[in-house]
Amino acid sequence: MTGVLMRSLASPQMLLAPIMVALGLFYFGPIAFGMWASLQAESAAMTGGRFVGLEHYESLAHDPRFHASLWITVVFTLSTVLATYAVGLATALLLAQRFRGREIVGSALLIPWTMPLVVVAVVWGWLLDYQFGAVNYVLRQLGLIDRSVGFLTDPDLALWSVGIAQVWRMFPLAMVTLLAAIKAIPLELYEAAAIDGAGRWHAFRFVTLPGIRSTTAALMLLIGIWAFGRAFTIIFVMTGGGPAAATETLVIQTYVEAFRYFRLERASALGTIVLLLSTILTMLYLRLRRDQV
Amino acid sequence: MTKSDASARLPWRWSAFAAVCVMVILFPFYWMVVAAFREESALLAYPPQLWPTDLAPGLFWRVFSTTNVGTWLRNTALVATVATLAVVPIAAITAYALSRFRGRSVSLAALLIVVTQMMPAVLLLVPYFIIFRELGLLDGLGGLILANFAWTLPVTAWLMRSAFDGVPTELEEAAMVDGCGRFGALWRIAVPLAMPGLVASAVFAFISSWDEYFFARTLISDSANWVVSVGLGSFSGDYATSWQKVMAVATISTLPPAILFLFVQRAFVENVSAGGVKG
Repeated sequence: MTGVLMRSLASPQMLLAPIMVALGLFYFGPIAFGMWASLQAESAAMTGGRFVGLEHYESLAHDPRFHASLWITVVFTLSTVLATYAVGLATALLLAQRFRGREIVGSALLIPWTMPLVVVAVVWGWLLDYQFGAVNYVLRQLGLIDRSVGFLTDPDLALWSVGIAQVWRMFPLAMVTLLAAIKAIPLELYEAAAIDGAGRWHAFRFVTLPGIRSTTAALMLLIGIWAFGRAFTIIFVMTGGGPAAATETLVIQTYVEAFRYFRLERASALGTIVLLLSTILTMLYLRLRRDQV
Repeated sequence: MTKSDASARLPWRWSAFAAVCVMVILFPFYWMVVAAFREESALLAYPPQLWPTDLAPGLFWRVFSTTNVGTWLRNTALVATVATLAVVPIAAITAYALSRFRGRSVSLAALLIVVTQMMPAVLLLVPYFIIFRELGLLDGLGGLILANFAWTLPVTAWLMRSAFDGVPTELEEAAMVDGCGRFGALWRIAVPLAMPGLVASAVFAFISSWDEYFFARTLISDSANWVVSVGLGSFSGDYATSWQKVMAVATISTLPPAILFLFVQRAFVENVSAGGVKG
């Protein structure tokens, strides 16, 4: 009797039931509500709704602020993905060498990853400060600039400044992932390359790079999906989307619409667009991973 | 050849190069910690002292009386602990099912769990805000615990899956042949063997909740219920607050996640590089 009960409890469906309920309650239900709200008239979603079809989406399609935000998001996503990958690969290659103190260096380089996002934002906000920032001081000492630069107040620079903080926080993820991939490359391949007369660069170009290619693709998409749809805290705390909306990514714009202007329906439409674009990237990611298996 | 002979042969030039890299990369971290121990006037002096000698530990501890960081830490610890305790059992049985069973329901669950990890939080925030307001959960730690529970559950389950993947099924099968039920095998064999990975995943859930700002900033406005991320964020753009105070609070809020991370670093790194990207 208990045996039968235990066996049915141990079925995958029963084990997976709790998380499915949670995902339904906390993800798919709210998203369905958000999509529904995006089709309702302004401030009607709270009071039963008044259907207006795609009106908010049409209005967004003609809104220059939305276009600007879309472009900012693309620039931010692409540049942080490339930079995170580059720094991650460089540090992973360094850690793949054998040298004294490698363990300590490996642990030390994980520190940015353990720091809370808000901490990263305030620390970098201070480093890049116009008046008191250490970065301005160092650049001036090195003679690279002759007057202080408003890293966070100049609309042409602000997006790059928040991008640097984002990359600094994210690169250890790329580092550990790529290091694992590099270590998984069979040593024989390097030996064979050496016999064929390959130098350091050729070994990197023809053994290491092909060896980490599948990891690279999946990693870049993953970082990209997060930078696109989830990067909020660092930007919001450092600049709040400013100056002059120069760092207003789609996520920040959605937030501003909802909680500064309280246009929840329009914000829901924006959120739905972010979700659709994220979903496309996610499908690419899943497809890539399936191909690897 | 002894071990010390082997390490004596390792080249120094890579060590030197690595040391320079670490110093450059970790400068922001160093600058934060150092600033937490210095007088405000010293921080505003020009030129800044990159290697200061005027550190005063008393200044660091003073933020506990000059800011509400004590309350914030208590709220954060409460939210992160309760959310993690709620996440761990559900994530663990989910991870076990994902690791040990095949079939359509398992693939569907795996797909949904991965998809939710990609979802933009901002899309959830507006519905959460509305629903929490209707349920009277706004402005309370209970609502924030729910949000953190929801947010960390899928990723924790996913990380735990790779912990179970590392445990060979043969051991459980042998135990089941010997008369252990599925739950007995799970509890007595799989869980103990997967423990390092499970603990690392639980720590990850805790750190994520500790770190969380997006929901906390929106769902809580009463400053008595602020968590440390929101308290720290409130300093940003407020020129009345001294940098020393900001950096002291920043350092304090970094300590708990950093120390926890130190304990589980190895399992954590293995887990992420195995499960996070390649799955």
